[in-house]
Amino acid sequence: MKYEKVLTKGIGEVDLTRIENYEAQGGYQALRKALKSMTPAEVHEEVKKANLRGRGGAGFPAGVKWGFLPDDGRPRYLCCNADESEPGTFNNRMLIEFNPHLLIEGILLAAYAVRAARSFIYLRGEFRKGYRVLMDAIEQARAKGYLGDKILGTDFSQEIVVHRGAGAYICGEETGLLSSLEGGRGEPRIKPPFPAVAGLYGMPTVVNNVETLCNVPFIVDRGADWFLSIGTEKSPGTKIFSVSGFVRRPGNYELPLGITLRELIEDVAGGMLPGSELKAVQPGGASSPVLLPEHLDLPLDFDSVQQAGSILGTAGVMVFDQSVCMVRTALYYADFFSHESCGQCTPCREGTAWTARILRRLEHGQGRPEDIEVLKSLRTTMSGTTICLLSDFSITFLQSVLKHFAHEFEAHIQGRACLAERPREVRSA
Amino acid sequence: MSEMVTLTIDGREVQVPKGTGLVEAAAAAGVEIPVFCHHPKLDPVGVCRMCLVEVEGQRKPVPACTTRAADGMVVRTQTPLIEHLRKGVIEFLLLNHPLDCPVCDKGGECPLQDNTFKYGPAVSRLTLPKMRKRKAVDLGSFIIFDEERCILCRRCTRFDAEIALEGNLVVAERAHLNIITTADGQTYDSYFSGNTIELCPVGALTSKNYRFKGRPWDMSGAPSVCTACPVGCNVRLDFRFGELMRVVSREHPDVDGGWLCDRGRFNYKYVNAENRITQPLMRRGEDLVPVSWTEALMEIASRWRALLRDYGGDSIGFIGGGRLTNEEAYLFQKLAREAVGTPHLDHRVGRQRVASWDRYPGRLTDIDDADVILLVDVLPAERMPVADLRIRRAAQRRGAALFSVGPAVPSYRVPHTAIPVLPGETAALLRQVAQRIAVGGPQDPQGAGQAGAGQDTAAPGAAAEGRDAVSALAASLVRGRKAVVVWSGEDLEAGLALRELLEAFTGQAGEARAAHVLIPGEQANSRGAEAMGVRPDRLPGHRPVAADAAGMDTGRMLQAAAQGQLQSLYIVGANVAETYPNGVLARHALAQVPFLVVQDLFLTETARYAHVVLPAAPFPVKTGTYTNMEGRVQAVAAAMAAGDSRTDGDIFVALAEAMGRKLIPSQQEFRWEVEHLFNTLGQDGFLPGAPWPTQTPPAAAGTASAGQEPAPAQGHVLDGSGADGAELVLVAVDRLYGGGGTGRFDPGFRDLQPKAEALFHPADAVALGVEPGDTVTLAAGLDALTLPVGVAATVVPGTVQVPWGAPGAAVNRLLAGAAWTRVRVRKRVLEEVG
Repeated sequence: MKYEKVLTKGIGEVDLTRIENYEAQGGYQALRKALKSMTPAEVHEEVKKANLRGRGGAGFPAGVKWGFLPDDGRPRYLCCNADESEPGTFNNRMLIEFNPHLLIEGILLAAYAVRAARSFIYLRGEFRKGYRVLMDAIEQARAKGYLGDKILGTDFSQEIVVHRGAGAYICGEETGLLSSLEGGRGEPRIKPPFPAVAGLYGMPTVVNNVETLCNVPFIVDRGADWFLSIGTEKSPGTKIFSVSGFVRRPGNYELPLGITLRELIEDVAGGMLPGSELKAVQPGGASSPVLLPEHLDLPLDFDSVQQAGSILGTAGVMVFDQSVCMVRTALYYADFFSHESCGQCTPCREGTAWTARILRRLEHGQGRPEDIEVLKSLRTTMSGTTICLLSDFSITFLQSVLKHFAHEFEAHIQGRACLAERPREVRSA
Repeated sequence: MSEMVTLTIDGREVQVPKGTGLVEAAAAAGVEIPVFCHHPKLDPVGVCRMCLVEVEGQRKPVPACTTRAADGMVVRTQTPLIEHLRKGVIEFLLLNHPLDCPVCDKGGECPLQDNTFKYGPAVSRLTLPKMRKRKAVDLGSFIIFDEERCILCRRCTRFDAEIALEGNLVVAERAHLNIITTADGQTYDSYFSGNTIELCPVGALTSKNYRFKGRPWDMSGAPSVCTACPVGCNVRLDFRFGELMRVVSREHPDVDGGWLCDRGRFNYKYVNAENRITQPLMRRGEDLVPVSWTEALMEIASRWRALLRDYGGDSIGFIGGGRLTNEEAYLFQKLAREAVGTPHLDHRVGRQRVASWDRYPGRLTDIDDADVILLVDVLPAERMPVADLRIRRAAQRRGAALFSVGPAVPSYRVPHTAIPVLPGETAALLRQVAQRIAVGGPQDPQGAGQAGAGQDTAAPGAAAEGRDAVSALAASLVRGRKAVVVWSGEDLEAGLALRELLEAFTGQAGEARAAHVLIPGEQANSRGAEAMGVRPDRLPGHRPVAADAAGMDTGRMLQAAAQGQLQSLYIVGANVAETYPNGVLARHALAQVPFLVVQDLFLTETARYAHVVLPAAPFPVKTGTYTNMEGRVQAVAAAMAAGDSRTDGDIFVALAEAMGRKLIPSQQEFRWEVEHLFNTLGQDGFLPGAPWPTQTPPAAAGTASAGQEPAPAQGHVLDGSGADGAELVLVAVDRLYGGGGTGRFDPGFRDLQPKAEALFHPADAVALGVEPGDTVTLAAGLDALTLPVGVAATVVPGTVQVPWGAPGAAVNRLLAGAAWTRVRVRKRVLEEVG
């Protein structure tokens, strides 16, 4: 089935990092339209009406989030969260590297709508190419009068500051991002107060994901009704799915929300690799609990996935086949989270490391029966007990495989053998 | 009265002021919520997660420390979930904690221990080896850090960031590798580092002096008051089998706020030091030999009786008193005036002329809500460290305008405007500001800033940069409603100018203005000694002595002794050889006076000149009261046996007795006498300041330089390559760890005394052709000091800074009593051999 590309239109066909190519396919028209004919409130209203849900993982409606900013005369800031570091997720990176002007236009429109004094892009430090592309695009936009003082001759002025991270997953958490942007340790802050009330430098702040902001120009240009016509009723619009694992054609695919897992794997990604059988899927990055083959007909939208016991998250879809050992995968993630915890909160700091150490021993065939009980018990002491959600998310995959693949853990302890087939070389189809 | 809210905690209804944290609200309801990271003096951070509670309507448990009480809130702290989560947190904290409680200093007074007993699981489920971190990391002068014991509550880093405001301590690394450390691998050098030991809820931060020396249950604690500086922080002295083991805070919210400086906390080993003198000494030829108390007292009594007979009472001079209790100071002047009959007595043994002022009385808490804080010729961190914490916080948290005027610039990491001046120019600058306020008026702060500009360009404060700062100060005083001034009490001319400035400030039209002056005494109880009449021109209670009956002050006594006009000096708790701002004169006088009695804890430079040395007992032995820099009278009770030494008060009584006089009729009557004096003098436990200036012009009561008005100091750098070197103005700067026998004779403290050096402004260093690593000779009058060179941008151009009290570099040798002195600076060149 063929779906209309929106955010990814032209990628792979024309060089959208050149502003003239972007303009040629209608770029910056939305900005022109908004600045010339719409008030900030109207832009905001349109986004609210479109029910644009945050693409960073939580799925919170962006328009509602913007509405939380208190109108008290303090300067407001807009931060674009471009610290994409969820394992298995690479959709923001594509947008930044191949369609930077869409992001810039989205930021400018959002900044206009929320009347931000200044905008920031918190860019994942490892995105070296993305940084060069963005900086170049910003200069191109400035040269054309889309950025800087009195944009397009209107009273609207805006600057975009690009700040590169230093390699910390936790800075993708919005308050961790703000702490880092201010020059401190990337440590999440206690909410409330939410960033909308006390964010960057204590001022009202909106933090939106790259993909969320990239949707704004189309909503402004084509209207909320058009946007609502795509996807499902409660999850309108498209989503870029980052598909990886044992499929024939891994990659980024922009599809309407609500497409089924089966369509995604079998049609879009070309099906499983020869000899691979679907064992499990993580629909939303490392933080998401597994879905099983029985979920193949599950529509991939925020609410359906949640009802199935997982999360759509970043839509980093990872497809596992029978060769994937769940103990080993859990260890891989545990190592990741025990490295990426900021260390503020006791349960996360100590719990992530403990989890990893227990799993390592299990993986090495020296597990003890009581290890399973300890791992299961962490579900209560590490969930809902910390400042941010890293602690919770660090064990969601583990808890789901402890439930669905308990026999693999038991086998590691009892038979000291891995039930998964020997890992194979991953071949491209 | 703030708005009250009513909430329910574990079924108990409680009313608390709005904004109260749930931990405190629960305490008010009689419910304990266990905490680790939470501390009432620090901003809540909610990281340890021990205080999680359930709040009705909240999806997840919330940290009680960061949640504010709200009307109608229903809180549950004892649900199965909360009990389970507490067990979880304790289990996490203990996972890699070494559990070396049997050898840990904190064992027995450890919140981690206590909370584990109360809330923790009985056993750990860890079946892996514990993760190791470094043990015994040397953090700084006083602190050893055990990384394994640390539970990363961050109380220490928060203290450093929020209270000391210095930015020394940081959290480094991430996740379970988190570690408390110093920025850039520097040492934790702070005057306040010891507070982190007390804040630490585990045994991670330990005192080098105390670690492995005792267990809390072996200690007997005695309440006391610190005598290291005039702030008078409340302390608890912990003794083990009669030996003073440690000093910890005993919070007085209005005095110390629960903090201590490192001198107060760690400089205690002198109390039990072996080099403390514990027997009277008498001169036999070149040597001082131990004698009995009877022999020593009889010797003094007979020598003094002979002097009284041959020369009269005014042939004997009494110096000291600022280290005594109020009662002892009272006895000291009584001994002088009644038993010996001399009018010559003075507690002032350094540069300070007045230790209090009856005008603009101030309390330390006045700093907390001041709009403007003005430091005049004073470095608060060096003279009143714990009070400086209030200044820093006021400037940082409330945006109080902090200004300093003086020849040495305090180093702050909080917003601070320095107005550097040359020594002797403070008064002129203050008058300039006063003028601007008078001209400006409250409606025109801009005008106030500019009014005085263009006149009096001689002052360095009037240089372009300085002019802005002066304008800013004037503007702040026009805007501000409450000003607190901290003044050194040294340069009386600056004091007069200060009065003019504050009259201009309070005299402004419009809203009422309040001004408060705080003077940190040069010795811990300078203010008490002043109030008790240990001055040649004042009787107890600041009553004036008739002009014709006034005696000599310290400077004149030393001069008279040097010229053979005084037959005896009795010096109590003072090391004038090192502290009197004319070291040459002081030493000459001590060598010349026919009969010198020195009473001290140690064989100081001054005591070495003595004919008789009387061993005084250290402060924990004393019962009495001290008056702190704000006039607060604080009582202490003896906490330790005197041994062979005696308290100063007992010595005064015994000396009078030896001379056939009864100084006090009975202990009871003496107490009444002093109580009556306090009651007539002060109110609410505070003694008023001294009336000043008196009828006599201040100069007459001044130093040896009395009469010669110092001309404005003009430092000028000559060509440094010339044989004569250059002339700069000497600025002797206070150092908290410098000076005092307690520092020098303390085995745990003497290595920390300031390093002797000559600090130059970079431009002067270039002009002189010197750089760090070089050695210079500073010469003035008959004496010279040879010092290593330092360079700092904060040094006022045209001056050279030398620390007071650096061992082996008695800077008072270069001073001649005046407020400032020029020194000749010469670079020392090693002659080539061969």
